Amino acid sequence: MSIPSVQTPFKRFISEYVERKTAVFAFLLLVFVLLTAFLGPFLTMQNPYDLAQITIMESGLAPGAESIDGNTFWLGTDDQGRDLVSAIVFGLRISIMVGIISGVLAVVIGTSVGIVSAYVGGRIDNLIMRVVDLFLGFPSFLIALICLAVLGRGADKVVLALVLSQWANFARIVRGVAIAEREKEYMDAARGLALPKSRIIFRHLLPNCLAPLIVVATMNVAFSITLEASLSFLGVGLPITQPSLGLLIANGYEYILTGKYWLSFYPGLSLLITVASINLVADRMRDVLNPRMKK
Amino acid sequence: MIKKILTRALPVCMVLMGAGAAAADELTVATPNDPSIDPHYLYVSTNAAYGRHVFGKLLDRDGDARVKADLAVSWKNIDEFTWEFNLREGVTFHDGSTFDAEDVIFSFNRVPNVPNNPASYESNTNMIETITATGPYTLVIKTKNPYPLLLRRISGVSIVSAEAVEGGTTADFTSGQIAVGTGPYKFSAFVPGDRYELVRNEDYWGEQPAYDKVIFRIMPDPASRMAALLGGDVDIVEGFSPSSVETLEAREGFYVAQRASARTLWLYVDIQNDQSPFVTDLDGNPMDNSPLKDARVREAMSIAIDRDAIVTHVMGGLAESANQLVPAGWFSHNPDIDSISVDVKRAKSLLAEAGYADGFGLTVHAPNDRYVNDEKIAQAVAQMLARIGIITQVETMPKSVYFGRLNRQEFSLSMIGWDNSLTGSSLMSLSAAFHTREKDRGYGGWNAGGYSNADFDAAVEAAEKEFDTVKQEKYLNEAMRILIQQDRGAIPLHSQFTILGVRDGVRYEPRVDEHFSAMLAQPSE
Repeated sequence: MSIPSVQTPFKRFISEYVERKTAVFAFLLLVFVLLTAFLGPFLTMQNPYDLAQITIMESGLAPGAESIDGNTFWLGTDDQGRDLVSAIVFGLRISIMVGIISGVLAVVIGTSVGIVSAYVGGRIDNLIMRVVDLFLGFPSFLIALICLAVLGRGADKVVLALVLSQWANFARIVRGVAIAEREKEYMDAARGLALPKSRIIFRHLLPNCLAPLIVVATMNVAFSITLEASLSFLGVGLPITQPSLGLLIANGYEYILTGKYWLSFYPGLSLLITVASINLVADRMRDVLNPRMKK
Repeated sequence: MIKKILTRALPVCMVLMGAGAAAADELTVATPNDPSIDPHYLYVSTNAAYGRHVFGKLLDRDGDARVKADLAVSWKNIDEFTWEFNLREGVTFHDGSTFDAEDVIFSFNRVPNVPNNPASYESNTNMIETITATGPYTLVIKTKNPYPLLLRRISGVSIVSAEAVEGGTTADFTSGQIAVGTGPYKFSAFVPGDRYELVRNEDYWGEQPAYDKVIFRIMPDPASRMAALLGGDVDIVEGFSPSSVETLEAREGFYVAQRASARTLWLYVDIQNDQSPFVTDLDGNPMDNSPLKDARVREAMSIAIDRDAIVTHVMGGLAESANQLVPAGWFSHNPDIDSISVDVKRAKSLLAEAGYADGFGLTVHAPNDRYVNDEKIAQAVAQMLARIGIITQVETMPKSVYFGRLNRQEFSLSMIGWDNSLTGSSLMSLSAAFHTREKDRGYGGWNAGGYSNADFDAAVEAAEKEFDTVKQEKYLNEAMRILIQQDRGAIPLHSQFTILGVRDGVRYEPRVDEHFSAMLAQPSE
């Protein structure tokens, strides 16, 4: 350990984070997953979402099989003849994009609502929290399912459904933290300076509520990805010609007893790696950021 | 949805548990289809198949779609308009009441009057002017026009007990209270979405079925049905997935029962609307002058589709590519219609000729739980259209949503599969799906493409009235030629097979109309 006094909070966070080797491994894995998702689509042998590039003549080929134009399907092809490597990379991108966008949106909306609610207090707080209760009263999966049943398919609709089903969690968490923070001396000082309300809320109160939020937000991305995969698996969510990981798994599910294991297995493995790495990273962040968790 | 989650988790559990084999006097069938117990409610072929177990008809169709006697023992065609029937005497309903002509009249009158019926059986009765009893066991039916196909039509009308059903509702059937027929099986129990149980009718007038008890297990997911069969939980799987055929045949103790069916799949093309709902230009804006109205575009689309590739790679070889709306070998299959061979180059030049060299945007719609591999077929079609420059999207939905929207003409290019076995010819599909919509005359009820051609209509109407089958076939062939060859009014895809997975120890021979019938199952030891 170097001398603690010269460390910035960020450096301290890093140095504590790397103490656990599994966490470092998970982080590297996550970086790999993200690079695959965002750079991979430029490198794959085909665009599996372009119907003119795939052909059912090549459907259901085993891993290692050769394509008509001489390429190799390293993980085989799916039931529509998509190269599974390409399909997974594109599916990963769509899953992660949907996960991150909906996760971030849910956090932003939930946080804003929660913090305002806590700061303002009184009747408005009460009203907002009852709305939050209403949303929390239903399982998030059910809310998303109902939304998509009404809205139909499409990435934008999935994002909307995921945000609607999750923002209330954040509102609840942030409000709890903010209420505790509200009573502290630095808040009194800020109020004493007669700063505008918005400045107090977003410059003074918010930064002090961030630590727990970062952890929950990270985990939420993983949860959003899982949720999206579950929805796609059930056939609501993304269009069938643009399969995400969940849809790829669902498509392969029919073949699970026929020996064509790769159709579901590799997309499933990719989903597992993605979600597990995010969760491990979030887990370690919680340990580091939460003083109570320290040994 | 929850049901779907459960059914998808189930097969794994069941394989793990290795459930014991079903008893010999019981037949357990895994089926994707929830039944309607009311035999006059929701006319789809799966319900017609369920109905045959509990309810009798004046005439029925055998496994090869030939008309055979049921509750009528003999019949006579008096003149073009008049038919006389002698009914079977000494038949009792499941509740003990006696069957007679009043029950027939009651049933025929009930068919068009079932409230809130999403798909009525009235297409089988609406040609009838009057139906009168001339004695307790004699009937006379008069038709509005000469109608040679009457016998086949009334093979689609189940007979219920007038005493039991009078004043009853569809819900009373579902509860089992008035589910009283003359069929070989009696209603025993029904749990929607789960199971439908039947017991043998010991007083059945005809040949007794082999099994005392039949249990339909309702399992929408194909992988679950397969797992249930492998686990010994069920004896027969209906709607067996072609992709699993090889696996099952390789297994000891099971076999696949299959047969080319009378169902042909085709695509409706919206020919009517100038602004077709799912046609766009290349930027995604609606087009004022729909390219689908141009026959050259429709021909291009048709020859862009590689039917053999669909048969081989999507259907696992268990289908036959089609060039018209009835399968080869059937009455009214027109041998003079050219087979459609795939020709991408010509398709592109036809598009260019029509002024769409760069293509346009189009969405193909299909159900995802109705026909064998329907969703996959739609995607394969989309691939092939994409290859000639039509930017194609695919939207699929459950049949409960799909067919309502189809009938409201909400689609531009849409899939349907038509079973030709009721009329045993192209007549039913041609008159319902392509004759100009004339609701009061009973034509064009399924005309989802808005096709309309006076010559075609005349040929269909002439065929419908023609008692001479040679002439009738001529009219039908002419109508098919106009529709397919001349106007490109529909894009035929293929005729599918009916496929069942069966446990050794049970013998089953599929019907040509895909109807499952427990009466055709027998123990083979």
